[in-house]
Amino acid sequence: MSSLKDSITKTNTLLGQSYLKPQGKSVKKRALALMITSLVDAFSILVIYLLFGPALSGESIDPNLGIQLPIAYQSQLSEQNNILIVKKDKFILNHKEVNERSLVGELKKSVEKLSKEKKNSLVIVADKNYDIEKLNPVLIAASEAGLNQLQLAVEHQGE
Amino acid sequence: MRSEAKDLDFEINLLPILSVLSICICFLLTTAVWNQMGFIGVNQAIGDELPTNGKVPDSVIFKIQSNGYYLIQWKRGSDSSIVSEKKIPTRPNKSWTSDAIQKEISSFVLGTKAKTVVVMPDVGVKYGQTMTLLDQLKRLSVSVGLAPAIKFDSKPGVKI
Repeated sequence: MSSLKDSITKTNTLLGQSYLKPQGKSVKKRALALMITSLVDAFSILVIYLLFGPALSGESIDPNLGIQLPIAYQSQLSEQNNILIVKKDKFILNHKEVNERSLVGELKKSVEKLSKEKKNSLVIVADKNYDIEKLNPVLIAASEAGLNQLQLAVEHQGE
Repeated sequence: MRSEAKDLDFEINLLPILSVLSICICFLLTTAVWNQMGFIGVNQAIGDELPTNGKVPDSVIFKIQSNGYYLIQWKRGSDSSIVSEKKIPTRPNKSWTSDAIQKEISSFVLGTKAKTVVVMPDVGVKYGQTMTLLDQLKRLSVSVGLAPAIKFDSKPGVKI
């Protein structure tokens, strides 16, 4: 009986030895040290998540562009595709500014280039307050470039 | 022997590491982009491609008017005659709640048994407004086509 009691005491002592057996240092100091260790662990996990989390969860647009996307609940998350940003009569196709006249040619080029990688759709990004008729040249150019499927960018909201 | 063991028992000062990590977290939190970009897939509604068997299916056309109304038309495929049409507001108001608008859209579209819905925005309609309708239509699991925006009043073919 006494041996069992001894073993329990030993186990408890091992689990929380800094609290039960301070051994020279004060209990408060030891407890603080332990808290900092776990805090460092938690902070490290947070840093890793913040570094890689947004990159892993789909496409995002540059907030400096000042484009406010409309909210949609039935949207799918975007994959790597041809991205055409339409802003103030400017067309930015895959980070490269193109004018309206060369839009068809540039679209054809990028479609051919990305069709080898099986990414042959076009994502159109525009501000929610943008006039829809200003997208007409894009729709016509995409049709001429052989793109029958279009993807219109929205802010993804899960239902 | 005792002094060697003492040298191995060193302690890492965690406080500066904690400070660096805190600054990293603050920086990453303020610069992170939280909005996820999604997309709504639509078909192009431009072109004159007809089904190979020659039978044109019935279609539903949603005209988004710049005065804040949807004009929904059920068109017969064979002769493009209008079977029925309905006008409902695009945004909730005193007599129409958002649920009522959604219910009306779904009952009309599902009642026609049409598999294709074409969205035709008027000039002056905003991108966000069009996306709201496309989002509502996607819930009904129908194929959605988007036509370029045209001024309804000026074109005789699409006058409403």
